[in-house]
Amino acid sequence: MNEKSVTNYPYRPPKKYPKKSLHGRVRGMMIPYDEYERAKKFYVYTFGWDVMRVPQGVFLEDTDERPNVMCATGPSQVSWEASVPGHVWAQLVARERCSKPQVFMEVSMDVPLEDTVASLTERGWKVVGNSELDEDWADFTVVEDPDGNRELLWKCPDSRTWEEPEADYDKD
Amino acid sequence: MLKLYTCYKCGFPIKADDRDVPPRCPGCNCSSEWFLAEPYNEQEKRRIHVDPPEPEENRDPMNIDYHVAKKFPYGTRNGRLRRFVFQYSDADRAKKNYEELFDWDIIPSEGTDPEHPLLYCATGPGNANWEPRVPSFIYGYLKDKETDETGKEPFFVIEVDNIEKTIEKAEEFGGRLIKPRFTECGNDYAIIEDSEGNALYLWETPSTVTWKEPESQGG
Repeated sequence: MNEKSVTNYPYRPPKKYPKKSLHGRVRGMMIPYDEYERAKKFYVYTFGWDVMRVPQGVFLEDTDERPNVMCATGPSQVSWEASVPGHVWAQLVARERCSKPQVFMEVSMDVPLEDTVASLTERGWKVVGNSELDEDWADFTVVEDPDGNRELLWKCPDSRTWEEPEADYDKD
Repeated sequence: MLKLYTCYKCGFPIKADDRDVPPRCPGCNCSSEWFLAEPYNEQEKRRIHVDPPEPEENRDPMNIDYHVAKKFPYGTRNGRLRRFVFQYSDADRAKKNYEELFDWDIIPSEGTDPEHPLLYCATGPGNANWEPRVPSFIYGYLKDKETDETGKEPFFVIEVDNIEKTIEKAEEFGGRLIKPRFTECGNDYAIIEDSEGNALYLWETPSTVTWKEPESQGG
């Protein structure tokens, strides 16, 4: 990127992210529902979202009656990750498993999740939920920052190939 | 032995030791017997290629069985989930925390009130226009709690073609208008509640969009 070509506010591009890491990226949004069919209908017909049940063993457990629903909010890959920049998927999650809207944030793959969480609690974050399913895709913790903003922190398993379009970073 | 698996049904790649293969595909939920295996190589490039399945036409939009996500049209960003909005009680503390703990790059939005700044946050690689360069993550805002006169803590932003038309649809499907169209830092928004009482912003696509931006693409 030619930084001299940036003529609009703030007169510089965002900083570079040269580390092979997705730490701190907001990768999705989790939206609670009370009535499953009503919520699904709202997002499908108001915003044109596409919906499918979250594959089993990935993240929060669910039931047939109150499933976790993955929503494509714009152009998406076969994995349902977005295929163009600038937007993310959402998940509709039953209120008993997600009491208020929360972001789905990726944290470092190279640091144990407990250590990441410890660095946050030192600064006033609170742990509000934990879960560990049998499969390592579910290595996550839900925290709240000092102002009550809720974040599901997800540590990606080693199965990432770094070929995935969403795993790109600022290489030289 | 470390191998690279490719789901034959959906093309999802998985790097795993052959003694520790996930029993189901994290992309499409099919069982691991559908995985094609190849040795993991240092180049991190797959030799096995699976053509992704095509989206089905005329499927029931309320059916949640696995399928390939539908095509989204060109020339519109209607419905895309574009920003998160965190509220803060102390701007300096919030900015310092997110910069130091999560490596964000945070600037005041153009034209924001310096007493109650709306802070714009890059959370990963971006382009010169301060939009993400890489797919499947978003930028967002840190917003002063005192400026949320709705008391509803709207938490995310959905981009729409037209605010009023979207409000009509939202109300038809159980949503509720909280705050009609207003302008903040040069952009037009409204605040609604979804059918479940979650508050969110509608953001109308700005007239300055050229449709050549990476984030404006369809497909």
